[in-house]
Amino acid sequence: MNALRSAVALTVSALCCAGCGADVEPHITASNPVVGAVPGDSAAVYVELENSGGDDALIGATCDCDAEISLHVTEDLDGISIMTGADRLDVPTGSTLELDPGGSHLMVQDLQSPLTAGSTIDITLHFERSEDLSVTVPVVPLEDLAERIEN
Amino acid sequence: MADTEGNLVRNVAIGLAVVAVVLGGLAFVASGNDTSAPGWRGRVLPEAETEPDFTLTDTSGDPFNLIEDTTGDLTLLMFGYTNCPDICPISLGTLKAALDDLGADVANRVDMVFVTADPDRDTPERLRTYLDGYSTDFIGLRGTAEQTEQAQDLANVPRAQLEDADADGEYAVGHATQIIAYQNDGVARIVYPFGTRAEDWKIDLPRLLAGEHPSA
Repeated sequence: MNALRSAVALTVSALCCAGCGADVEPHITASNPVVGAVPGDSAAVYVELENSGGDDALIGATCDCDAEISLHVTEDLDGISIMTGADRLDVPTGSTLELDPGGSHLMVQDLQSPLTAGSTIDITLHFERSEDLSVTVPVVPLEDLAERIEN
Repeated sequence: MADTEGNLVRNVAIGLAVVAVVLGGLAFVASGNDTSAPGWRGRVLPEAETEPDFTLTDTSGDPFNLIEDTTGDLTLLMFGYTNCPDICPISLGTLKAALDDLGADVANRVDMVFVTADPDRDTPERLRTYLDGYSTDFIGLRGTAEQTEQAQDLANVPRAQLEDADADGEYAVGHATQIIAYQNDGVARIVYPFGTRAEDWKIDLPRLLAGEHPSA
């Protein structure tokens, strides 16, 4: 009987929580943005997106650097690193979406000129529900990114 | 009084026991996260691997045999592709930074060999331009799809997987991310996973060049 009561309570609270996530306005802040000083024409932007409001999703990004940006998820499967395109990256209520080296990232393609350490690029993040979010991304030496990888 | 002293002794004993358990736990957690052998920053292989005897084509268009045509005392081998935005730039850029810090005496004895896992898009010219962005000394190799698969098999890494192309003809390539280190006796005893830091390379490279053999 107690177990049944607990199960009902859990279900009710889960439904409430799901409802809250969808009803409440999302509130997303970006921190620790960074991109490597790649000599080539493909790079990856990493950033942490914290959502203290209702559910949302990152659905795209644009850049002032005259390059295409797409969402990618990288996973390690059977010893190889597989990168696949994504239409959206969920940022549920109360969560932080961490875009990190070797994981999900914003892939910057067709860069017209190499990124130089010490400079910045401006990107705009597009969300399913939130307003666009402008982020200034510092360009750092590639070896600094290795420091962000958790082994 | 005796009771108070007894309590004090008991409390100190319990306190010390708690500290010991906590320290033991921390040591266990630390050792659990450390998969490398003591002192080595790379991942020591459970069994040594022989340097693969494959011949591909270098960026000048000449045949290049991994064993015969590398001239240094250490060959570092990695499979990747030039459209790679994440893994390859960090791996190559970090290694280059370490080699710069170590100086020419070390760098000149290291052959970094980058084999493209995407020979269709990575023309010799594109491969050369890409690697020159890191170092003009880095060696770029390319083969047919079949040769590339054979090279990966011989190097004992999983074969790369090419995604289906999207509407723009773009596709990603899943590939092994480790850098394998073959010493001048033609044997690899250690590999460097993605996430190896410049400091890690700066500790291990001089030791490998000095002829130390990593063992588990």
